[in-house]
Amino acid sequence: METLKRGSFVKLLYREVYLAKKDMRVGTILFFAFALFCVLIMISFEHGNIGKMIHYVFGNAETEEARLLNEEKISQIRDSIFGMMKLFPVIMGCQFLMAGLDVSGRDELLSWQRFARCSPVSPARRAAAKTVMSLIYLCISVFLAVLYMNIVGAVQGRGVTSGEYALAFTVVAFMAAFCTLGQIYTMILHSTEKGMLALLGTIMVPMWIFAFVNGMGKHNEDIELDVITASCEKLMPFLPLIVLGVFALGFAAMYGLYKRREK
Amino acid sequence: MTDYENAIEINGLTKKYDGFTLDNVSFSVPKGSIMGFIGQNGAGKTTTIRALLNIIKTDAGSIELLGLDHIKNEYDIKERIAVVFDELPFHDSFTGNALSKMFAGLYGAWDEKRFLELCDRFGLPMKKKLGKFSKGMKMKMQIATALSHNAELLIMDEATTGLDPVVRNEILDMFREYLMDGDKSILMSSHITSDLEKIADCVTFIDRGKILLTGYKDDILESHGMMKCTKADFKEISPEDYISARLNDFGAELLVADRAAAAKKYSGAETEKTTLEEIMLFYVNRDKKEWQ
Repeated sequence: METLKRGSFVKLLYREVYLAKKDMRVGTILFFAFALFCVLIMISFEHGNIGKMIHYVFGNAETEEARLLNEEKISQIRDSIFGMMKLFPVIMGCQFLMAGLDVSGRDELLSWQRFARCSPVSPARRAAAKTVMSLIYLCISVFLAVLYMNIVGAVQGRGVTSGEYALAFTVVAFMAAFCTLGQIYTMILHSTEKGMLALLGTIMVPMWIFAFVNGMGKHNEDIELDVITASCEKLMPFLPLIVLGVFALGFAAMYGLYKRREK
Repeated sequence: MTDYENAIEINGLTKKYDGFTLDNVSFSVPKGSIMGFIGQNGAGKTTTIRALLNIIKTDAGSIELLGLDHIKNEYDIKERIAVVFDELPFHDSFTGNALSKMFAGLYGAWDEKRFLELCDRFGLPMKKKLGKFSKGMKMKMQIATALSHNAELLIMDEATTGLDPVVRNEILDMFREYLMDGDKSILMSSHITSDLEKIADCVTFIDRGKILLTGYKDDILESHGMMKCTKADFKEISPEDYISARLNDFGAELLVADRAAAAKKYSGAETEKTTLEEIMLFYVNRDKKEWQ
């Protein structure tokens, strides 16, 4: 039998990109809006009114001891604010990763899956298209994270530390895993809403357990950003493997779901 | 390409659900013909089609499409067939142009030029989003995509339901052209029997998961007949000689499977040709035997 020509894989990716256009537009706007907002906050803290306000609140000290205490507090506030301002846009940049989840959800609302089942595109090819798109979204999110971190580094006049890169990449990797799992849940439950609820449950339950155990007083220490950053730095060499592992599992799960037949 | 006599061959297809069973379904769609697959809602048409397309698992039976096993050669078959559902399976945000690009990813034999010709013929705007299309336009778009990758077999599941007669006629004309070369076949499930009377070569009637009739449409219409008689005469007719009878104040109408034999045996009764719709109606009521 003659070998039949198969459809173009690039055109399969075109479908994913076309449907994710709106999400990508929203992701781009959110990223740049938050990036601008956070950079302005940091500039204002260092050279502008926010900094003046903080110094006004904590600036008055009658003794040397009080002055040192106030400076310590200002430094802590600065670190907290700068820590948050560095992470928000990175998280917003991960909006691109949500695009895959959104497209899968919309596929479930229509009879698209049934139609795709009637097409000559194999489950492996379909799963591969979704996985490749997720990788592309991940690369976009990483690029945006690096871009933003470097802008912040330039604003602060000191560049980007390896700890800051590690923290940003860990956040992106976590979001990638989050979105891949969300996509799987959406496909299993045939609904974006149910998929998101299942995903939140998966994430919230360990957090609740952790908060409960922490609240019981067994772990009394506050978790410092430095500690988290140090942990992320230790994780960094393994991060690419972890991400690839997550995507490989995602591919396998999607392949299985696409292959299954209806009852 | 494989050589085959029947575009679709189903033998002993069985699928069990709670409360419904597709029971030993067997029929064939000869190459180059249109098969009208009729039955009332819930009769098993969609279940049969889903089994054909390997969308659902089956409990027993064999299915061949284009001379090939429908599971072993699934993707080779699907490259050569097209499916049209009753609802548009594409996102509303697609335009005709975007749909064409997407289909180039699905089918190796996608013919963009043919697609554009069909859209032009159907009067479908290529830059307008599908969400703004009317129901008829959406169905025409779906059919345009189905006819644009040189498919040898077109399977339609209630695709003309809900469309107005003008649109349905346009679509039926398109199918007549599609079949002209004699190598292409259509399986069309519907409960709009008037469409199938116009276009089908063969008819298969399914009811409650069982095939009641299958064969060439003209043969079925020629063999079946409607016998009309008075109430008094109706009492003389043996129940074995008719499928079911519709009683009214004036007399009875009986569907007979052998019109010629019935006319000969019951010469006092009026026997005439019937339609697919009436055949369907009377067969559906066969268990009651007499109904109003």
